Amino acid sequence: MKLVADVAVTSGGFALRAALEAAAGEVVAVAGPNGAGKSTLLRALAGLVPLDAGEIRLGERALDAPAAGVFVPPAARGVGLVFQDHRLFPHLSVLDNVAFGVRANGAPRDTARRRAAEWLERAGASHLAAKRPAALSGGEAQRVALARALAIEPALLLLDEPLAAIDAGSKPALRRLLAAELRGRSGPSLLVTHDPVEAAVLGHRVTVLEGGTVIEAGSPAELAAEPRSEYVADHVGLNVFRGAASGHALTIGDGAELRLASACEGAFTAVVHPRAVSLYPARPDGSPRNTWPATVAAATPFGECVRVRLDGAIPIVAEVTAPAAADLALAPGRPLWVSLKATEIQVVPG
Amino acid sequence: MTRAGPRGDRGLPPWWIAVPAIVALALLGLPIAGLLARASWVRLAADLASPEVVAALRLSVVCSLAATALALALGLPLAWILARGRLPGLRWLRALATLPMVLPPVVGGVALLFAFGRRGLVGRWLATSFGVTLPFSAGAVVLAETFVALPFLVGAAEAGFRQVDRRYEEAAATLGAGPLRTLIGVTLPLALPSLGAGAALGWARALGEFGATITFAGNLPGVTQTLPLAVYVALETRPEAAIALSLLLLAISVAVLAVLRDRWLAP
Repeated sequence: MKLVADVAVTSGGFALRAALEAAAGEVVAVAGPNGAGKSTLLRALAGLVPLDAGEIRLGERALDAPAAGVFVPPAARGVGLVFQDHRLFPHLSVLDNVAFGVRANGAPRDTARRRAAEWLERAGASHLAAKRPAALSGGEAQRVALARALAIEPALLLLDEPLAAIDAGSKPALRRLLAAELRGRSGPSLLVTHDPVEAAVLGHRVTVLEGGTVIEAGSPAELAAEPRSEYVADHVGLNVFRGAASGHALTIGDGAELRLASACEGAFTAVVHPRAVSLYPARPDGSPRNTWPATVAAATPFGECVRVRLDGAIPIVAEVTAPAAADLALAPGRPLWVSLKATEIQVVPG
Repeated sequence: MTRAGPRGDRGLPPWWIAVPAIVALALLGLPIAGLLARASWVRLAADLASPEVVAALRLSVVCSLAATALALALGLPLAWILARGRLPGLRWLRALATLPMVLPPVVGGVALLFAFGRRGLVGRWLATSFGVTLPFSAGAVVLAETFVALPFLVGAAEAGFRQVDRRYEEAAATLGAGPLRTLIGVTLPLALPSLGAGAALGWARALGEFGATITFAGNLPGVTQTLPLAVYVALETRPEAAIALSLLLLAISVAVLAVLRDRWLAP
């Protein structure tokens, strides 16, 4: 089931006009600065804000199409939304919070409570079942909110800044849970975030919203190679390497290894900003742990700098200044050496 | 001479505030003291057990509970509209819903008579179409009590509905809950403290209703003579019974205050 949305909403002087698609099983991260319209986009998709123009289709079904006079109310959409502020019902226990949606979707009480207990277990929150939301920490509440949204098995899952209000201590485990649940989904998922690392790690693709419009969409590496705005260049365009960590090595793709600054074990993702990647005409001496030969695939000027896409054992995007680009005689096919300090690699679980 | 700063200020008000305040407390407290002083505690049980007292008590309880139920059934939807509606003339509706609170109850009774009386606006139609005549029946007692209780219930419930955080209703909608399930599962439970306070206030007002009842429903022992009417009548003939009944109503009032203590007695 595919999401095809062309969203036009005007409210309080702010106009959102954004088109995006998400295939079945795909996780699209929606990134952008504050006030870009990210939350409004989610509210429109959930049916909490009606479209002024455009259309939202989920599979064969039109959810909102003003031109055709179609508006499916939120309750009938099969769209789950995890709110940034959780919005757990304060008068219900954690278990009843999760069971609420299952009940609302037609399951009898006992079935709903049993299914709720299963989803709490999956979210690692079984021990919280009898508690009231007021007694939960931010991380616990987010687990419960996620379980509550997943429990209705929504065709489309929307997450609004799921890790933004979580203390640093609970973040890695929660990110791991999110990554596992998002990758296991059969329907499309949309993840709104202002954290580029989160977007890069959890999303298959990133859609960048700025000032109410989509300015760029693609994989983080594509965005890194050809950024179309300062925001993308500074925040969203990143090199992302998923792999298996063992000790100080992260094995990615076909046997290539990145050396890490600290030891890790398990599934990890390395995130590297293009500015942290250095290029040399010949093999450099010195301390960088990660050095490998590469050839220039493309060089795209951006502002005062040039973004260089490189093929090699580890395909990567680097940023160099215009004079440096001239010194390096950047051109497709030019052989260079890539160097990356281990300390410039941000490693996140998942 | 120097004035002490914070140390001299022990939270004592100046005399020109303290004296009127004490007089006000005396005005409120002395009648209660007078009532308690005149009560013959030994005979209380016997006074309360007399047949006319029991009849008045039963009628009062049944009618006031029926009036509260009716006020809830009609008042909650009205309160919801007042809190959530976007109609243009909403302030006039709110004024109408508050009117019985400020209207002299006797005037309310007269008005009810001309609306639901045998020759009243609606009463004539009720009589000719259904053969129902309301005045001077227990039904009239319930109607009069509902009339005076509604503003208390509607006011408290409207405030309660307003206080409910709409974000929870949005969350319920995204979980697949339609309007009715959202109302029953989320809105009403979240507004429950206010609804309970409104129901308790409305019930207390219905139980104490005098003016509208005696005007619209009359004062027929066993049929329309509620506790307050019985107190009034008994004061002429059997003052000790009047005192016993008054103590009973006083106890009920104190109990209602105890129920409402968190909402109305907290500063």
